[in-house]
Amino acid sequence: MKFRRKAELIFWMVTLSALPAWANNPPQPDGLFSLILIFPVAIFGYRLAGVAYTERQRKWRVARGLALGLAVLISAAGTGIAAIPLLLMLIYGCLRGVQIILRGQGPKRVLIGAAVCLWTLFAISDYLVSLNIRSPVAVHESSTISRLRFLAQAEDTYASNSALKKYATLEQLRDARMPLQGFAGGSNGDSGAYDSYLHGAVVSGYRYRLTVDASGGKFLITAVPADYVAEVAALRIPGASWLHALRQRHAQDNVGRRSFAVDESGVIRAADLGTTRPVTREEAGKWPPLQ
Amino acid sequence: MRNFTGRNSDLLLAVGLVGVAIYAGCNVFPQVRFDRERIEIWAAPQQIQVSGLYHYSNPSFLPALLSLGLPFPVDAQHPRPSTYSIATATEDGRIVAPIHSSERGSEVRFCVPLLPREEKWVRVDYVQRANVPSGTYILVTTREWRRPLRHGDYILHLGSGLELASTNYRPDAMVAGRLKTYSFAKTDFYPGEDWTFAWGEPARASSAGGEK
Repeated sequence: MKFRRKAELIFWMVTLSALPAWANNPPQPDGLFSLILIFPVAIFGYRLAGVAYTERQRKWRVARGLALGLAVLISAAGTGIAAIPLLLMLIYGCLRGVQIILRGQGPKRVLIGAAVCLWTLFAISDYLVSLNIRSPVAVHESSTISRLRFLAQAEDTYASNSALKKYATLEQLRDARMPLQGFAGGSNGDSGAYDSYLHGAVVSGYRYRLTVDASGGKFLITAVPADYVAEVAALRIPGASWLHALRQRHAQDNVGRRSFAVDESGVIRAADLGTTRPVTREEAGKWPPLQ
Repeated sequence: MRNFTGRNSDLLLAVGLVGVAIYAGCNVFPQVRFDRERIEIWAAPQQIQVSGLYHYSNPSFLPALLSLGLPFPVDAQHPRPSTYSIATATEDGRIVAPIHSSERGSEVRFCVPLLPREEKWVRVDYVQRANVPSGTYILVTTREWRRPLRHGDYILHLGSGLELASTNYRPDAMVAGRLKTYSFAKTDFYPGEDWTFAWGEPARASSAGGEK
């Protein structure tokens, strides 16, 4: 068997086996869109600069087209496996740009060749950025649910231990050194967190508020996002991932979507208010339980 | 022999690559060990909140890619949770980085890459609606790892005013307050059944019965 056949066999084996395993982190649509545009940009660049295809280029064009098509397909899988096709497309795009500069006609060939090279670099960087766009909202929500639970647990423990069986304010919980615990007593939210809650600091994207009624028999803990962020729509226009990453660079730590509340029943409720604002007990009571 | 290997080297290579692919991608021969877990459950009226910490180690000198499913105990009274999160975590449960998951039908799947000799804690949180005052935590999937858990901690917190009505695993300890906490720990644990528990209002709940 010829070397070429062996190489083809290895290529297909690796591709077919690895794709299902790694395809759990696909790029945003705009990343793939940018990548695919490398080819028409290079072809139009060739035409505009008046570059003629060589005999060798004509001979290999079908094989090259298949290989590059496969590269695009593999890059749709995302993480890890995309490194090889990305390299292929980088070489293709830059090579085309250089060929336009060297073999093109007219003074604009340098500009056109540089544009093809720049587009290639932009498309690949956009693809890489699009792989890493992860909304922190889910993590913030998860942390917030845990924190609400620990606070509610601290309230229950405080009320159980106090002579009057009353719930406590945040100051009283802090002064009583009520632990915020999880996982078999392991600290999962240190007691210093009380100060953050008291001072309205943003903790994992949320601000907390604890209110106890006059009788001390009821409490409500709310967590509302510091900065409300709507669900990120799929990024479809080339460059959208870059733009999104630049916009979100400083805001990632403060974002959340749903508001949460827990009262003495221990039931955690949630609602997407579409904004960030204080919540009353009556309002939170109408929210559906989290499920 | 030389002729055979020479002529069929491509076939040998193909078979070898299939073996590598199966080893690395399909988890048919799990070199990764699942050896510890800590499960903490909060039961409130019509709601179960679950936090699980799972420890995986890769004693092999090869990297491994774990492809895992997240099994939810779903029945007519306990719908599939719509709020869940998966993340790598520290031993005490602090989230390190989120893990991207994908849904295939009703199944949630996620991947955990492990370098040679690497260990990882994975934290899973979910909230489930309970239309009846009972819940289940799936334990028997541990058997798919074909070796017992070295250690497992299981904790159940019952919300204010709730009493434990039944549990099929006898609690080792109970902390009573407004919030009651029941826990049990297991070593070399090869669970034969899932953990089911039920709670009720003080008047309705009988003393913890049905325990084994």
